[in-house]
Amino acid sequence: MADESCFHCGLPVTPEGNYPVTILGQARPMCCPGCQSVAQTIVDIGMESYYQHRQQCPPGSSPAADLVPDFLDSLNSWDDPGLQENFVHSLPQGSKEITLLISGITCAACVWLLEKHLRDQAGIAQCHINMSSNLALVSWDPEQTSLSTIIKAIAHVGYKAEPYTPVQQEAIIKRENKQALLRIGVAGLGAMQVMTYAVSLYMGAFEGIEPAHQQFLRWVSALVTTPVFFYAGLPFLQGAMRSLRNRHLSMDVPVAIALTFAYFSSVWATISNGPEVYFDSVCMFVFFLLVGRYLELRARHRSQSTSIRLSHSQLQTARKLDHEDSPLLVPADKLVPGDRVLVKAGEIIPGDGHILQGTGSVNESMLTGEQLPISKQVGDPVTGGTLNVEQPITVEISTLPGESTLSTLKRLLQRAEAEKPATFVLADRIASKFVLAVLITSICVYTYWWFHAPEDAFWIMLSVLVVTCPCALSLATPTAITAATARLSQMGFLATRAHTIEGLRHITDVVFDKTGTLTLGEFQLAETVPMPGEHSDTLLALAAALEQISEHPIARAFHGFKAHPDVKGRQIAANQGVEGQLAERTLRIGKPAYATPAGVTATPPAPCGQWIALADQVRILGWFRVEDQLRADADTLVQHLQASGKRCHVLSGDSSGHAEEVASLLGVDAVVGNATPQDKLIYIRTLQDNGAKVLMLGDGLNDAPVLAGADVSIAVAGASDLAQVAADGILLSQSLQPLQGILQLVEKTYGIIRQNLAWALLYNLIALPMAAAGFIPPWASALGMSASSLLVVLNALRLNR
Amino acid sequence: MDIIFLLIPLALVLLVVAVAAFFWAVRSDQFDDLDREASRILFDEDSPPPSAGARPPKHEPKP
Repeated sequence: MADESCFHCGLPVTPEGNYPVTILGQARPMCCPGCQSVAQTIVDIGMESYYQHRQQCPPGSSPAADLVPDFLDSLNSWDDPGLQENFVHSLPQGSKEITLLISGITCAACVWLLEKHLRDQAGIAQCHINMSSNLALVSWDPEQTSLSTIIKAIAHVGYKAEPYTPVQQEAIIKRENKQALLRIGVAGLGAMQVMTYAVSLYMGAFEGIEPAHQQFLRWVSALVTTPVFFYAGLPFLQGAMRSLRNRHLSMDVPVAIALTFAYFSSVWATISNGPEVYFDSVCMFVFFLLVGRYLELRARHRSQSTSIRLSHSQLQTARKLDHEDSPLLVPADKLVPGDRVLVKAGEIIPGDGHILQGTGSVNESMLTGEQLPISKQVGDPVTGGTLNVEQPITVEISTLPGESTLSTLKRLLQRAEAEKPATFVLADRIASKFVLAVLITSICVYTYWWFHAPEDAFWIMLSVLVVTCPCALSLATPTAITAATARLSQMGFLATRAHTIEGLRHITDVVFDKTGTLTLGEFQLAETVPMPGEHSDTLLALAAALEQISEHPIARAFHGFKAHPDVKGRQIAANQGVEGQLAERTLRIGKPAYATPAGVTATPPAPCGQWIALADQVRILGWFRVEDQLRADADTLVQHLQASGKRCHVLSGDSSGHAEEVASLLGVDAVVGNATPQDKLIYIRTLQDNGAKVLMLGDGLNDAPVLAGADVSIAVAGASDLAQVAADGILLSQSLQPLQGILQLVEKTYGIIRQNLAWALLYNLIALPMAAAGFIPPWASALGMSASSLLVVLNALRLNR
Repeated sequence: MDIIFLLIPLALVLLVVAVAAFFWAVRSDQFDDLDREASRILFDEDSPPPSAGARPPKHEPKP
């Protein structure tokens, strides 16, 4: 039944929580008030047809859920001129301009909806959204509207916007893309022209042509081919030069040799009235190869920019306290030692320092992998980038941003990356052998004919070089890789480096990080044990009511449940639990030592596992067991990997013994708990020294150096920014399941590449002797070249099925 | 066939114009977002009022 899922976001609708909106003349179910408000806004502004045109629902964790007043209030800080200074440009006419990164765009309908909605807002002068990059360029009149109003307007239709500063890499991508397009344009237009002249010349060769006309057509062809050769063909010439300098034969070498010979001999033939010109072959050759490379470039750019977008770190702000203790928002990288900052509950601590005021608990999982927060008192050191969980604290900053723990980790990451083992590329190996063979053959052919028919020798050698056109051979790998990259991104995997796919093929060992990778990284309620006379539903409602106010990871396990309405006066005890009043009773939930009333001994129902007690002032009411649950598909994945002969390892930073538990549950080959990032890196190095090719899956900041050090690394969904930058690929979905399909596709890709290479070699083996014998006229070699290239491309496209 | 001495140079002039136009188009960012331009035609700039009976024909794209 269509009624079961939310019409806006596609999530399931629970029977008790239905929030209908009339869209396109029918009442549609919505899963939450957030979706309802977004859908209603879309209907109210008259853009219902968004629902007809969209191709995909917005992502499940729709920012619509954030449409709570708190979230909208926090946006007001964007109007602060101090924060705007880095992002907002003032235009000459007094208006302002900003680049916003918009998350949640899934198809063209989203872009249309957003642009129309923004243009209808008062004071917005211009708005252009680029769908491929998810960037919006918005300019507005500061007299009529403000930045926070714009971001709120975007939030009202269900998208999230944040200020964005383009990364240098993106400028390079953009330049490369334009450069490639220009070359293709020149080669394409040139090829069309030269082809028409070539047809005339061929016709003339069969039916007779006046020498003056022939000469004229040749000169015009030479004129048009010159820019094609020197401008559009430049990448091949440069590539060949580079590879000769490095004493390594790449595919560019025969391409460049064939092009150079064909071009200069044709020019010579034009001047000296020689037998044959190959201008059309030069142009077609350049054009085909450029198109092939452009497709490859685009696939690579696309996943690169997606990963840049994903890892774009939000502007970190800090509430700096001035002399009168009033907070002022400043960018975190402007803090200096001695600054005092206020960190509210749920905020990231902006820099290394120590606590001046307040006690609280800090989640340091990004450093240690340990999900449970650590209690901090006045005077305790805190690390920048960690999360303040429960209560506001004041921190005195002690290091410059450049020397913080976070920056040190980043440097460790860069070093690991620089020492990454190089991956050997299959196509290159075959190519260099083939190139050598072609070059030797050409020389032999030339020598042979020089003794038998010296006047034909040069032309026959040239036709050997042209007909053994490395076109099919040089397209064989890139087309398959391109098709595979596209298919992988449909499967929810972004390959962000050129060698990712090649690297995945050779994997012998798979290393998993535990928290956040094999497990979900969030606690869930596993078991409820009521004491005699209590009912578990009531207990759960009470627990939910108490834990509602806490953002502690254990408390979050209770957030999904229906809360008891009568609990009042709730208070958080940092890293201990929560207290509240129900009529005359004082309820406490939390660590057994905290929750149990004095004089009562607390014994959890079972010795192992993490138990939370709920008690009133007299006795314990019940127990809850919470655990960081395994991802649903972790065990099938491990089984599959082991069945295909790969060893599985688990590395974990936490010391609770949970790692060993998880490992034995999954039956992996090796497990290391309580490991620091350095330990993890050493572990992987040891594996590599023993000849293993390691695939690392991780999510945390503490995994980043290890990800960079592994042969291939994958960051799972929701991984930290740094982990995504360090990884060779990013899993987009919440499950590990795609990995199985990814490895299969990689195998299939190499099957296709092998077929392509085999075909290209076969074609060349047949064509080469015939050309060497002088049997192949130019038009036949051009036809053969195109047909063989086309076959290779079509074969690669099978991967997309 | 001597006409080709006139026509081909003329065609070359057109070629130069075409290349120049293409360079201009690329440099002014017109090839930046190919995904979006492809589906622009599907959307009506004037949205129908919410209760209008005559809605545009449904172009439900395949998922």
